[in-house]
Amino acid sequence: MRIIGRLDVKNGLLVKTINLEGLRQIGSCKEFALKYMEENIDEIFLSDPVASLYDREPMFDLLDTITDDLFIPITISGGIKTIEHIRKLLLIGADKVAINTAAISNPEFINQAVSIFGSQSIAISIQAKKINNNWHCFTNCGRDKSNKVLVDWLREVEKRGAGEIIITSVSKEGMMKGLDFELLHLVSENVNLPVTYSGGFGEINHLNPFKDIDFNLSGLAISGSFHYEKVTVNQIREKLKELDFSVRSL
Amino acid sequence: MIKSIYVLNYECGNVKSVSKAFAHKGYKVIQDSSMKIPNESLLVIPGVGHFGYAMKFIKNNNLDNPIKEHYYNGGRILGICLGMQILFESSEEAPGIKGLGLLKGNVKKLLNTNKTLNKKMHLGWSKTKFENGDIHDMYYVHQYFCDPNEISIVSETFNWGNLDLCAGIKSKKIRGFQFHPEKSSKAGLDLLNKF
Repeated sequence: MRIIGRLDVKNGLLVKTINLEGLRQIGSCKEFALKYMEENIDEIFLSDPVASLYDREPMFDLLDTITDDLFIPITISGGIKTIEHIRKLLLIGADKVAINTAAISNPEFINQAVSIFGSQSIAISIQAKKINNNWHCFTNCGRDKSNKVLVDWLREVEKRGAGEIIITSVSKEGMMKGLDFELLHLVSENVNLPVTYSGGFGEINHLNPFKDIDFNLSGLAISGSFHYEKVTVNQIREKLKELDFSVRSL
Repeated sequence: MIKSIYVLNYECGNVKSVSKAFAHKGYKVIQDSSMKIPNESLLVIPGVGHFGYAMKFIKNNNLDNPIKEHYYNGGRILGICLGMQILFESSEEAPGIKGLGLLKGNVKKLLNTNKTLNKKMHLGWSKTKFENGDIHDMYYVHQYFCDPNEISIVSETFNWGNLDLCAGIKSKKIRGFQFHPEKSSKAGLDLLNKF
């Protein structure tokens, strides 16, 4: 499993979100990214969670600054709407792009992007929330409910050629009270792609339920607990090893 | 003499990441669109993209001849990920589209042979066995792998289910990596010393 440091950005600054809202400023993105690289993190996930809401462009300049000195993989999301956006992001050092809003409003965009950049570059980011016993996909930081039902959308994006699912549980996000294993279970049952999960990690024991589940999560994204130094990358790595996940050895 | 590399810019490469990694190791990095590749420079073909799109771009922009000239005049080449794959003859990613054909063999799709695997995409850090027996974790992100006709050019391998597949090649003047040394932190950057 990949241990991923998630950096949510607003106005170039690292922020902490709760339920993907209520942004609190923490510091410089680049400093945190490089610090995590030193601590042997496996990947960086750079996200502008409200880009589409404010119709912002992807964070070209910030990515360009970070990748000057970053020698580990980085995935970027937020405001990616065109083939040209993707081309430019990959050119300046992104390894993958994660698309949410633009894929939901025009699913054909996934096919187009895959035919040019290959499946491996195109991840689909999903903000999932359960309403009346049904899981739905949201956009704009979990504010706007889309017309996509989670299970159908998972199958559709796989069919359209996406290479990875990055799923955030909106109701767990930022609470630091534990992961959404119900959601994880649902996703792993319905998609045959690598899945990265984000939302709710607060302490090392929150990983314990993995003991009783037999799916192979591809990535675990953690934000606040890393930013506030509640846990180290190494502690996570040791715990995952203990839980029989294959992790990168250093 | 300062070692230099010429980075191919063909719209399907993470040109910047590769350039920065080599610069970090003290190389002079040449990156332009002239396709005047100094013969003593290592030609680096980065790669993030689709085989078919990459080859069409190369053909339409007449980049194939300068690459071949460099090679047949004794120049060295390093292909990374898709950059290694297009050195072969063809790929299951784009049936009917020819690769550069500098190496004999084809590029095939990874099969989902085992449920515990990372499914149909190889994504993440995987143990990689090097020629000298060393094992390092390197970063991979791909769905297709190289299957050379001559097994002897396979210099590194990664494990996929119960198979050992090609993670690197070494053939006369050509070196290739399926993983991304430029994204594999220290273990990856150290590999770049050796050109």
